[in-house]
Amino acid sequence: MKKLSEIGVGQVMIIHSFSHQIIARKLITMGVIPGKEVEILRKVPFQATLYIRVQDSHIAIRKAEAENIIISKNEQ
Amino acid sequence: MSNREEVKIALVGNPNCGKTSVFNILTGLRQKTGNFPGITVDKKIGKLALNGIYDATLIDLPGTYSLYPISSDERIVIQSLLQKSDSNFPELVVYVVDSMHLEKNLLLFTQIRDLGIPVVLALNMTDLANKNGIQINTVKLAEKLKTPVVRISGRTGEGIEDLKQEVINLLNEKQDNSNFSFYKLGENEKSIARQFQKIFPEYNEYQSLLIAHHYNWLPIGEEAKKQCKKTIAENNFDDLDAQVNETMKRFNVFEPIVKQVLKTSDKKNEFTKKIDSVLTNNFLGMFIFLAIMIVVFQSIFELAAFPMDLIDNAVGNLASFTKANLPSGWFTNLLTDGLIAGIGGIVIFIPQIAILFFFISILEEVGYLARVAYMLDNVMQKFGLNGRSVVALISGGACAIPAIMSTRTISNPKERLITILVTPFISCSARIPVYAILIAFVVPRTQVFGFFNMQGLVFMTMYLLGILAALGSAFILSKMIGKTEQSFLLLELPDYKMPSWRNIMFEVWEKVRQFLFDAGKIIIIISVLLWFSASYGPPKQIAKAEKEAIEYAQLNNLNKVKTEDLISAKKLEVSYIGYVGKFIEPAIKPLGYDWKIGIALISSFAAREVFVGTMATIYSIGSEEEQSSIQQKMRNEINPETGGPRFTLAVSLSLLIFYVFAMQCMGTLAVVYRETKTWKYPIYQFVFMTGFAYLFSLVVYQVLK
Repeated sequence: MKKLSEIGVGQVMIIHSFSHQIIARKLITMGVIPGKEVEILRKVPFQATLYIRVQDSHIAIRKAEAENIIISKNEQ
Repeated sequence: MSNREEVKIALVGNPNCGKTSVFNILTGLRQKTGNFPGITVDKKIGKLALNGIYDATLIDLPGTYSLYPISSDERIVIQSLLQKSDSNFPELVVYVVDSMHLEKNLLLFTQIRDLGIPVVLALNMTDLANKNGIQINTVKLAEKLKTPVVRISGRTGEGIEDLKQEVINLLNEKQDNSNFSFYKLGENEKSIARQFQKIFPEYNEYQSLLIAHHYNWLPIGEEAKKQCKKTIAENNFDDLDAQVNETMKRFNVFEPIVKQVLKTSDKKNEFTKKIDSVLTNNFLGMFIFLAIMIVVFQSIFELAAFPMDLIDNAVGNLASFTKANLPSGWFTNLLTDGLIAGIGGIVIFIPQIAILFFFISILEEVGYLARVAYMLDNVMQKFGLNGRSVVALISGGACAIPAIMSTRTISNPKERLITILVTPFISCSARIPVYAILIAFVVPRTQVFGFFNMQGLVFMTMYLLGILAALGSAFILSKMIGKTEQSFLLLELPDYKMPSWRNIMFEVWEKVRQFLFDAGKIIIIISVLLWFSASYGPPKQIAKAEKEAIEYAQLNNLNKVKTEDLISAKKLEVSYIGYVGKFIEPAIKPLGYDWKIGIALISSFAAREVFVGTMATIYSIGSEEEQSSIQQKMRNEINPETGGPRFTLAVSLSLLIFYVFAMQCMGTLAVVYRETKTWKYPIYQFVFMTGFAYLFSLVVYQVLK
């Protein structure tokens, strides 16, 4: 189990859970929910903002926010 | 006509679902902007003709993802939809869905449906969805959701008539919502809802549950609030957990429905992906952004120059025409020098406002501004600002007024407020004439390092000082203003699409209108006040000054124009503004200024560039003479205390610094008032910026003198 902030660009993973309730409640309303595919499309240099894809939507998220998204391997 | 039934219809949907296009096409020019009580979100309402049967008012509610709001503008949505007593409570909701992202758009839909309000589901952007190979079986969707579904496109107008027809049908038949719900409440939730229904008997189960979630900020009265608090405590209700649970359960209900009705193809999003690999590229991205901003910035300067000249001339001609054709007297003067000049001072900003918002709404519409926020969020965060603040700061280089109006796109209230407060530090185009005349006066045109012009370098330094002051004070403010709402980025990056020209024109018109009518009122009042205090003074003194000037002119054999100029100068000295200038002289003396400069500082409040004109009047220079004669007069002006020239290097630089930092623009203050809906912030801004300018100028003068 890893945090979303720990993986590299291009790795497709599955959202497992959240470790912060306030961020969780905002994310799930945007369709970022456990069981969905997630991938980092690109990063702003110096460990900052992430450009992620969840299913077919694109979201910008701070690294600190991404630390609260727990992900698991894509089981196919 | 009079027997038409009045109905309210609310337009609801997620951010980026294309709601604005739908609103614009449904209401056309029959729309206006009002306020939601208490907050700074504009309420757009419009009239909608429904076959002559209903007289419908369409209310555009802010875009939100769910009925569990985080920001204050999202709260408006639940407040309007939950309480029947609310003035915006609708008879029907048109729920707009981005067809490209059907699934996640359905969360809010199922919540609203459970409130028991009749809903029509409008599948928007069907033209884009078709292009991307997305097919939605609307018949099946309508059947599964037990809701009328219409395919529309707010951009092309396709399906809009069908939408209206469905709205009429639903208003006629009244949807039966009694035994239908997308969400089965958990045991604990059910028990809480029942207890809440005892306090609020008119609400259904889900409405009661929402009150349990939001009672602490909903306007339900103190007594009810106390009861709610007690019930919540007794039942051990975890608000956050319940929200997350509910959302997950709802997804579980509509995910299978979406799977049945939706066909996608792999083409989807390829376009957006390709563009983003360039536009948000770590190296290219910043250059492209800078290039775009330079084009916008230059356009505000260049394209606005011609219409601004036209307006300037037209206002001037109108004033002299009025003056020539009306009997001279106080009324004519009020009309020409007070009102016409005041209106001119407002209208002159329209080209810049229109041009800036033309570009900004294109960038917003195509989806680029969200990318800017993504790229710059990290840097701007360090100063307590938001990625989107950059747009306001750069636009501030042309004019702070449209720049401050553009902060609407910043959703975090604290970051937006800081951006509003610091943007006027950026040197705007009105400062240019002042910089130009003062720099030309004190800085030699020497070459530095072989190719830099010294004057140009000083010019650039003034701009840099402004930028530093803006970022520095943003940093300080972010530490001072307590955390209001947690700052999130969590920003959806919408698919790129072609802009809708209709939306852009509406947006430009809306911004121009807001400025004209809201900020304009305040500008006119201040302008008339300034006119009055510069034209009038104690009558005896005025008469005496005029007499003295005429005697002096006759004694020295001055021609008619020179005499007129001298009379104006002498009169200005004993006018009320002249007295104010003399009154503040002790305060500005440590900066090296006398009362004449004091008058110029005060009248600059109409607009900074007025400095040049006021200097001309004070030194009785006629309009037919060149700018260089102002410089000549400034050079000859003697400081009676030292016997040397008044405008020494120290005084000129101190004055220059003052104009970099001081808040001297009534238009900006009026717009800050309009955007923050309180006088508190414009007053803070005035005191802080002018105080800062005072201290900085004081140091410069005292060190250099």
